Amino acid sequence: MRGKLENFHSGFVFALRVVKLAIVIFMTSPKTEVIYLGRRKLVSLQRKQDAVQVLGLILLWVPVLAFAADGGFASLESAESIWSAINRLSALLATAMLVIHIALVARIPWIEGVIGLDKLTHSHKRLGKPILYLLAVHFFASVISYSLIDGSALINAFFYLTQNFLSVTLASLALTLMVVVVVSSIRIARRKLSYEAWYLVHLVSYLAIFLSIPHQYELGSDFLTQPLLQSYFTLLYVFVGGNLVWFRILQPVALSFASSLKVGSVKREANRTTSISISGKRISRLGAEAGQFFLLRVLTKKQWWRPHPFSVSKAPYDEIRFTIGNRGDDTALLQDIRPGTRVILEGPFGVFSESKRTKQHVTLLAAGIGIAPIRALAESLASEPGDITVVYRVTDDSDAALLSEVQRICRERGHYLELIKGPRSQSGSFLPDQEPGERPKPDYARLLDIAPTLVDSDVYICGPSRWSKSAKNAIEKVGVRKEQIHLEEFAW
Amino acid sequence: MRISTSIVSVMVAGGSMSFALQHAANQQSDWVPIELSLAESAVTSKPGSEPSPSKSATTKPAPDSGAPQNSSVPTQVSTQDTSAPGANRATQSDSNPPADPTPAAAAQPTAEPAPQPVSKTVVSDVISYKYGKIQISLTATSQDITGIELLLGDASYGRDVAYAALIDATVQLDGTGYGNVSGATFTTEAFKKAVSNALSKL
Repeated sequence: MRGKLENFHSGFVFALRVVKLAIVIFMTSPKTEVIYLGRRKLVSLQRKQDAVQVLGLILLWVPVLAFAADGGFASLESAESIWSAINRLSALLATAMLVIHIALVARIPWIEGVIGLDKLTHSHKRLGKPILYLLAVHFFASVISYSLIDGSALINAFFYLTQNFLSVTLASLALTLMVVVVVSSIRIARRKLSYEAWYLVHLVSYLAIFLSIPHQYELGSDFLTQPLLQSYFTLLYVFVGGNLVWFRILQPVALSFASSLKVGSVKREANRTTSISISGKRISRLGAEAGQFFLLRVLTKKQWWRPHPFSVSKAPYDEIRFTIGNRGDDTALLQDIRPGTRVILEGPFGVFSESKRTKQHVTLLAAGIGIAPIRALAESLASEPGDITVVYRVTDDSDAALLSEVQRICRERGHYLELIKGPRSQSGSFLPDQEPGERPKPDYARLLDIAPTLVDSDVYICGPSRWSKSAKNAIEKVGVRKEQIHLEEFAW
Repeated sequence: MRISTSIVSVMVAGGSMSFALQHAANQQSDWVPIELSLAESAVTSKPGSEPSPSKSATTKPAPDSGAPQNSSVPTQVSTQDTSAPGANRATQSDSNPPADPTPAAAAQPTAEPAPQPVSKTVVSDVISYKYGKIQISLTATSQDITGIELLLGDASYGRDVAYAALIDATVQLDGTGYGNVSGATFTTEAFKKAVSNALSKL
């Protein structure tokens, strides 16, 4: 009996192992590393970017075209038909923009790999308010046009629509929820609301979008009169929704489970920073590159529901290491994380890597905890001795996280290392203030002294956003082309 | 986006827009709301003057070929309009002696004032709504709605099917106490309005 149980148990373990292996194999694709540089790569990168942007414009353009082809612009004689046209057009545009809005955060790999998650998130943020305005226009125009047709007062028309059509009631509720979401996003931007509260409110927006779908199919003039357009939008919903569920939930959970990801070791670095290594089976198949980042979700009671982005601070081969500065909130909790804690990794994300490089020479600029991805890049970018210059900006030695590792890498691989020490500049410059006696020099001239190959190199900048912006301005003054400057937004 | 790409995009956008507008213009010229048999409406629009022929045709859905598609099809035996195929066949069978007795009986109801209640036909106002205009003519006795004809109504995008269903439902329920025809919500609303408008004129 006992033997049988053991057999059963080991059989189960074996089956589980097979399932895990299958998940890892099916969900990942090992990268074959061939490194290209030069102008042709630059052009092909730009082409891909253009293609994705044009795709976004097409998504906006198709409903307008369908509206025009249906005679939407042709018969605008009465006030009623004009309001009706405004109503239809604003609804179509808002719907298309919502699709884009969600696609931007669905982490679709072939889009993310071209644009980068930070830029996608940035556009997602900027799209929020215009969508809300369009939806408000749609709401008022629909009520006005109905009241004109019906000859009733506005408020009566609204009550008529909401009382007779459940889907309109749901859509009105959805609009209210969206107002709440956008207002909360504005308040988080102004730091009047905690991140956690905002995050919960933001999840409501998915519910809002869901609630707004039925009324499109029940009453949407263009949906009902143009079956082709209806199928087009249905396909878009399915595609974006599917990607969202797959890449944000199913894939990370399945992969993290299959490779049993957990915190391997925790090491205190310099002043208020900690390195956390994540270990797991077949971890190299996650396909991370130096310079990329993951969303780390620590499965503890307090933190499991909110992921945080961290760059890998070491070329990711047999483990994935993050170096995390203590900035309060959750990063403070992460300083004391226990080895063995299970985690879920979403990613890898970001194009702050070899994939965007087109020049032989590279200049790496880091400030503070921004050294994490820079250190990984310094370790793994293909180079001959002398090709790479590392500029590391710190206030003093105790502040310099990973300094000894960076020094060792630069010595071994033949990079130039410039350590710039000094308190934060008074003028907002990314370099420390000059000595009182020195002849005043503009920032870009001082930067050229430090990194003479700057003009003919790819520049990677990572640090606090104000510092990065100042550095970017100086670099652009030197005459480095925009495509050569790679900037990782740290706070977003 | 590179300048070359944006130029190409703008050109493609402009081209596609002009194409779409042209398409819309072409469609507009083809797009004529179906106005069913004006002659008929001229006949039926005189309520009370000659109610009996139309009544007998619609109240007695004959089992034979005389009126195979009863109340759902508006163009029926009720008139002398020979252009309508149904009417054509009816007159033919009328003239042929070996035809079934029912159409013959239908042809002379005026001769003997039947025990049936007197029915009346009224024409509703033109109801305009989101997708166009609707006008119906409604035939009813004091208790029953016995027939509805669509005089004016846009029949594109499958609304013709909706009308048939709506007419059936109204005749069967003697009123508008039914729900929406799915996918034709506004049409249903407008149709109900037309029916109640016509009923108010009875």
